[in-house]
Amino acid sequence: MILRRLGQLVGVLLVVTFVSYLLLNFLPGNTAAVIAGPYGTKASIAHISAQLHLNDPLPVRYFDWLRQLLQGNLGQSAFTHQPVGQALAQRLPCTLELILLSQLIALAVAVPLGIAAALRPGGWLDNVASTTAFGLLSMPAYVLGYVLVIIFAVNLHLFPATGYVPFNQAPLTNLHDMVLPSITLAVGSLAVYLRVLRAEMIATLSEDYITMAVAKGMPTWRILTRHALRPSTIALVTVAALNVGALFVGAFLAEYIFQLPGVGSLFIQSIESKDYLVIQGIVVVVAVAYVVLNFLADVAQPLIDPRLRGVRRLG
Amino acid sequence: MADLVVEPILAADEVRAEAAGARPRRFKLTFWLAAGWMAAITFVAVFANLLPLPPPNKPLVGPPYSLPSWQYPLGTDELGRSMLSRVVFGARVSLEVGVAAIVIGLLVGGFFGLVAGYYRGKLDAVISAVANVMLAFPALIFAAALVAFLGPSLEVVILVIGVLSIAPLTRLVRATTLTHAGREFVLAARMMGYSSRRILFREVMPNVIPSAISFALVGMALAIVLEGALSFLGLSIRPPQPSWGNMIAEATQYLTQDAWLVICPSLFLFFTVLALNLGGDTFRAVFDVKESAL
Repeated sequence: MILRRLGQLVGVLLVVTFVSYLLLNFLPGNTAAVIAGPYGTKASIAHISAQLHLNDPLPVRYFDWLRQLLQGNLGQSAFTHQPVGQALAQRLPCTLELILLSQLIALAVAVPLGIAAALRPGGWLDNVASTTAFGLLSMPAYVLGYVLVIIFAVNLHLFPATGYVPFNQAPLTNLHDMVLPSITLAVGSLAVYLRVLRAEMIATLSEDYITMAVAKGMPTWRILTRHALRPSTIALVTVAALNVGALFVGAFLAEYIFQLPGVGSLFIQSIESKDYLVIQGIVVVVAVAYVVLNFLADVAQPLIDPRLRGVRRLG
Repeated sequence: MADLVVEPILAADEVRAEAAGARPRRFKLTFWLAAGWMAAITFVAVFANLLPLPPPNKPLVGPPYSLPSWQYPLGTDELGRSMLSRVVFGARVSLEVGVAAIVIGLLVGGFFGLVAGYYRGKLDAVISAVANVMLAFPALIFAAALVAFLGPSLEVVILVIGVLSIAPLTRLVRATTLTHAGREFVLAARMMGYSSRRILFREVMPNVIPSAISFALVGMALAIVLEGALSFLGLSIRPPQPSWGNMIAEATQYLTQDAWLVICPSLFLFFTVLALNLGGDTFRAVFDVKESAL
């Protein structure tokens, strides 16, 4: 079972990396000449051709590139000549911190609110929470980010609009700087999680075993946390994994808005300067992260809900 | 305390009964507001050239940084250009991209989804696998990368967003087709000796269309947000040509002088996306009622 799933994972990863590799083929004209830029010399064009094996047939080129990728070699930036892998490693902590903080905020708000809303569907709390979530889902990160900046940075002077210090240098300043970007990123996930958890909890609470627990006189909070929340978490994990793509997009935009030195800023700089190998490197890393996280979410399901273990074994 | 849990059980039944059409279905006020907003935006976007507006790029229509007033309905920007005119011409870009991209997505994705959901088997496996791989690339990141490689222009943006909308629409149409392909009327049509093609397009497709419209409205909202993000990053229409995204991006430089310049296009974007999402939601609710009533 697990072996077949692993096989599928490898297959999808192969295709995903191949599509990322094909990106270079979208460049109009001579790839090496475009990468070398308007000031590229004959020698540098020849050097790039050799480096990217542009004279070999496509499958050969792809597998060469893949072998390099597996060794962590994604080529080097056309401008700074820094290896792409190294540039990514430098930028990744900032992006991951932003994502982590935003998910903590989103869960801290969505879980209690989702449970409370599911307790009384149609009640005032449910109505307010559901309507707000619907509205927030219609608000792009680049709108929300500036709304927060206008309110909390320009008018109230509570949090800075830009600025970043690494966490290990000044933890408190770092967290203070990260408040607005994390909230900007958290809101989208929060709305999605709230909606999913509410719907799942309403469905779970109408199951027979919950009625049974109520009949036995079990306290409400215990029913909610022990009996209802756990099975409802499955949908949450699945949705959270599917949300990873949107999360990267949001993080990239938040980094751009608040000028944080993360992978997103690197991506947008590279797009502006047409640093193709860096763009390709980021695309492949994000896509692989998405595939692997979704695979893990899938595998984790029986760990969360014991009922799924039996079904899997029978099937 | 225990009744706290009994209540949601009853309420859940009520919610289900409501979904099953026990209550009279009726469009809510919010739906009409959303429809009215979309009609107004579409009207001004289509007839932008005929409306009595100053050209969107004409500077010093009024004093720079004017606040909204009778003379300048939405105020003026840092160059004294009319914000109303710029927002209206920006609506053009957003709607053009939204509609064109979703038409591409619906035609291609709808076709593959129908075929995969109806014939199933190996064809379905291949189509679903391709769609799943396409979904592994976050839309904005892939779109931005593609636009960077292909060079920014409105046509490229429409094409890229259109191609990106194929995979999700394929999946949704496939799922809907699957639920209809096993129904009695399809079996009846097959018994009467109709060809597969006739059954697919005359029997199954009309049942898939309502939910496809609901997906399309939400998809249009996503396409508009995506175009806004590309514009915002300077990868779609370039200034001085206005689009909501690049208006927001340009105005961020003057955030401390005049926050309204950011808020105004943001509001238009927000209300349009909200209206489309509401429309999609309403369509889905109405469609579900019809399905369970069959």
